[in-house]
Amino acid sequence: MALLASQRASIGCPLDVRGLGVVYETRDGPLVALQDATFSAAPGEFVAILGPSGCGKSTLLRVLGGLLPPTAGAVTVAGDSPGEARRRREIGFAFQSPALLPWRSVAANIALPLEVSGAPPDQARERIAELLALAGLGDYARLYPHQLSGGMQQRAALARALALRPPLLLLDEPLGPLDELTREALGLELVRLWQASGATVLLVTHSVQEAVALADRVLVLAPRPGRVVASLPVALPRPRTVEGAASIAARVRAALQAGAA
Amino acid sequence: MRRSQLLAVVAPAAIAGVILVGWEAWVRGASVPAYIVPAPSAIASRLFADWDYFLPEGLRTLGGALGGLALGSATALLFAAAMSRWRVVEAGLMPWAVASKVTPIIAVAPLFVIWFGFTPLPKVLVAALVAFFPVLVGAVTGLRSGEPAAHELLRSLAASELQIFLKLRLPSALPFLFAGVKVAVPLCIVGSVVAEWVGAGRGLGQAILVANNSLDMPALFAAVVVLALLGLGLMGLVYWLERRLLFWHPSSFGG
Repeated sequence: MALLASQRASIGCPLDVRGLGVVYETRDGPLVALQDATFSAAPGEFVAILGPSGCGKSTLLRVLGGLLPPTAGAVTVAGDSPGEARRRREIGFAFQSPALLPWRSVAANIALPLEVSGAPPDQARERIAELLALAGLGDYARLYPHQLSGGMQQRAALARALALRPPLLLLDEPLGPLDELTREALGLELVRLWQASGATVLLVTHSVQEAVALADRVLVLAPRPGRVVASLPVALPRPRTVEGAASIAARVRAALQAGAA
Repeated sequence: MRRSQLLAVVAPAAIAGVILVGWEAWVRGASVPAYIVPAPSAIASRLFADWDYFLPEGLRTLGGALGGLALGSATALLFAAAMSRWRVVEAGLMPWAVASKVTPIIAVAPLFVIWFGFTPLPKVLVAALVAFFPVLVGAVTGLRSGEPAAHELLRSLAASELQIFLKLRLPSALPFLFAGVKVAVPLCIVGSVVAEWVGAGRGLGQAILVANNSLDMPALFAAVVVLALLGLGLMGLVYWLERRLLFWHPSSFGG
């Protein structure tokens, strides 16, 4: 019998994307959202996907998450199709909107993936307590989303994404809507959660600073059609400093501008 | 009790007081005969004297209305579940739902009595028919109102259709369902009374007919007062339930 998703030891999975293309059929004809995207991620790697709006970042994430079938190319998550990985519940998702269910308390929201996967109640309770502690939400467990700040809501959403110890974590601008101070604090928090989980992380962002501060590698996308124009490693020791990041940020910006031209 | 809550009780009561005192003074001063307009005091004393008549009749009408509300809402929710899931079902059923709404209930009620006899059953069916449409419209909209990101999240967790329905779509629909039920409550009381008028068993509708035929205006007014109180009570119950269940909804913040 396969291991229950909630019992799985969390080890990041490899990810491979070859010649990925996505075309949306719209009323005004086909729209190329992504063209010939090729990259890979090593197990446990933190990859930031950076680009201006309309470069297909979110489309890419939805394909990797098995929510959207690709039009061309091949994608494998842990050696399988993203759809298979999704059915095995190996993918954790967090979005720009926290997407917490407003009628559920923080603890009940974090419990959602465990409920859906049919985890035994005692095991689920234990995991929820773990996640609340991990995300620093212990004192907020019984509160409802509308009683929390935006940053706290995003923390709960991240804890929920980690509930089933997914080998792959897909984050669609989860820090996007927050104010700058909260963003910085939650960014550090995110690195800590990633290190504790060992998962492979793909973080979509449009902030150069955020990408350089958090990721092992920055994938730069250009718009119309969306394509990968650069893959820049961030060879900085952790914890990182603003000074060290500056030179890499400059290279990332140069790649962005070259892609836009 | 807060000042605003106090105001919500005191202001309507004051208006009722002014109207009742004026009414009483007018009937007495102008010697209006009781078979045209009875004095409030006459209505009240009739109500208290014959409470063991008005209360059971009122409960019969209320029973028909509540039974219809439950049946109509449950049917509407079932239809809405199918309609919000499959566009083709919505396209096929919505015209018939609209037809059920625009057909005057007073024209259909006698048919129900012919089919189901002089029993409470046609009363429940008539009330269900009028409650159906507003709840259906609310439910169809509501079941589609779940946050798209929450829907994606559940899909990413390989949740089944049933899990998505129970954990996301149904709770998201609650505010819309309550809006529909609030429209349906007064309608199903009307439905219950109309069904009684055309012979669907006893109740305040019949009490009004009997009082009308014998020009017993105090009894007629008393029946109307009881109907109004039943309607208010039922609406109060719905509002109370809404506040309990929708504590998480923005509409209940700051209240």
